Amino acid sequence: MILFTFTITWASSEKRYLSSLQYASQKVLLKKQKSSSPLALSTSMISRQLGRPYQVGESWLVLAFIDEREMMRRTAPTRERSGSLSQGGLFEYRVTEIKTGFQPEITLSIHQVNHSQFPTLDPQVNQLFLILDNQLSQKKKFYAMTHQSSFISVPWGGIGVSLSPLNFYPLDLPEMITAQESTQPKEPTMLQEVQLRAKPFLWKVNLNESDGYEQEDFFGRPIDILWEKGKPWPSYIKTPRGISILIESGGNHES
Amino acid sequence: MLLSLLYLPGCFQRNTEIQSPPNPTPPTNPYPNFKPTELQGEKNFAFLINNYPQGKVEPQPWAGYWWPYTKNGIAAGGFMDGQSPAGKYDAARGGVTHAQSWEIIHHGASVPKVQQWWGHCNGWCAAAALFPEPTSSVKVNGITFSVGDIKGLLTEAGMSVSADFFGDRVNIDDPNSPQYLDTVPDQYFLVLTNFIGRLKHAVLIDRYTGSQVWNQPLAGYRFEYPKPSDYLGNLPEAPHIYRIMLTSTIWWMDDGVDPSIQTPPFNYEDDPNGVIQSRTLRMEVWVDAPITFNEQGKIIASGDVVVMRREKSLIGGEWRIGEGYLVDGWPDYMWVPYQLTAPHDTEQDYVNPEIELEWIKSHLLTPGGSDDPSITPAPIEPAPMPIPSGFPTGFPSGPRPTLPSLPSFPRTGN
Repeated sequence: MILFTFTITWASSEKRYLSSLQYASQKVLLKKQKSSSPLALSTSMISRQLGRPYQVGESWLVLAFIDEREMMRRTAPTRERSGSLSQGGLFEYRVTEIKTGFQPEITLSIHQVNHSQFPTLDPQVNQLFLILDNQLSQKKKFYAMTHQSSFISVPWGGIGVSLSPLNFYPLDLPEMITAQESTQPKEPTMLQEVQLRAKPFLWKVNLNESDGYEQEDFFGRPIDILWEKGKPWPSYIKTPRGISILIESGGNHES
Repeated sequence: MLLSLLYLPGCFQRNTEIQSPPNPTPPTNPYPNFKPTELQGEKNFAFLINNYPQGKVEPQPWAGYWWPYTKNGIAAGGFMDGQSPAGKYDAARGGVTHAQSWEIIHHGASVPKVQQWWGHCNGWCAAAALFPEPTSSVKVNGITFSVGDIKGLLTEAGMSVSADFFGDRVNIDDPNSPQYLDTVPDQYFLVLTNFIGRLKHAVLIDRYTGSQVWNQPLAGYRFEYPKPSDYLGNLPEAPHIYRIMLTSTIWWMDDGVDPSIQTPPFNYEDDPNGVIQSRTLRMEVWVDAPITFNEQGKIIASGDVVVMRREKSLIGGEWRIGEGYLVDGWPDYMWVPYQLTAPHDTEQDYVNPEIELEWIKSHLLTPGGSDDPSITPAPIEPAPMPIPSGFPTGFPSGPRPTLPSLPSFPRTGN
């Protein structure tokens, strides 16, 4: 009986092993193809999602929450699984510079917005900067400190830093070019909690008009993205650390 | 612009100043915990195994005690002649705080459905990773706090912490569940080499592969340098994945010791008294390009370590330490603490809200202690004896403590 059980377990684990290897092999190949695809290089990701290139001065508002994981505590499983969203922060994104040419770059600034319900999370940070290429692949991230003229370069994409609480908020854009597009975009997880916490903003995602993407962070942890057509930023990003939602797509601030 | 402002409910102030794109310069760092060496992650296997085959956490985390609920948490008087860390804290603060009574109600033996293994291991882990080890007793407002008292109070403050998690916790002991099968070896390899190897940053693990939770702070790790014979190459069925066998040892600090002990220096060895313990794990690591050895047996080229999601599962390597249900295998999950936080949930019961971290820092973590002249100390309330919960400890509410096999560890909880 023991031998029989062991044989079944072994067979099952060998099957799982081979299946995982095959899946990983296919996904590695797919990512390599996407990274080097001539189509990807010639088609701007933002044009595909927004329908046009970014323009300097245009802005939008994003609300972000940390998903406080409780798995290290002795609490009951149901509570651990659901997680709980921490105090949110409201952020204004703005396109501050666009460089064209051989190495195109898009610079986005991110300001903390001091809202009555979402007060400034870290007053020591004046603003953040994200520098992206024209495929929206993030190349650099900086913090501009409130009382300094210098900038602090910080990592993103999985390696955490103890720099500022802001670094735990999902403000970065996940790697889009290698993300796996879902055939059927799924409803956001924690939808009700997000909507509840996002009050007084009315927030919803039109799934019929959205592209769904699955991506992983540096450590393989899941990232889910919903990007509604015609919007400048994903309507919903769920990372291992938290959730961000697009509240409002503003106009061009220079117009 | 005006339209978007009017559209927003509530009130806020918007900073409309646009700065030029940054040109980074060495900053004056306003964040004391920030290490300027913190970098982007590195995934290349050859680079990581050649440069970071072993690593130590700096500063070294400390051993301590897990303050079980069944003994009233940090309201326990067993180590301190009938006086608890929480009781001394209340006394030094003039009796205006009620840390001891809160602890007994929320972290005590009479908590409904309490399990034998429930305790403060996660708080101790975070505190041991984020604060230097207390080395001597201090006197504050006439109250003497031993090293154990200070460790106990830091442990309680550590119950609320911001952290990154790798792997999902097992709640049901199913050896085929995705939660049981992670953390996967490639994630384990990347977390150890990037956080401990490159950054010397603390990494904490749940060392119990099954459903119990036994958090421990790692002191360090070592990977045996692989030989050419460890390289398995690829399979025709999966031509883009290249496999290599690795053996690693991880060392952690124990929390089943007298809280007042001083932790011995870690030097990639177990401590004969069990203060530093270890486990050796064998695994297959997967990378996305061939691994090349030179004639001297050194790895000179490789692909990146591969770890990815597959629906609810994580894929990346394979543990090679036996089949079936294991409790002392790979970490159930790993986590990296960054800083202690104040809970935002007023209904929470996981951290004692009467314990103020800033007060501890100001008065207990200064050499010799620092009096708080704003208050008059009160008498120390004796620590009450634990009163067992009315519920049986095996009440089926949370992770089961002993199924299907008992662990062989020397203590009985987390």
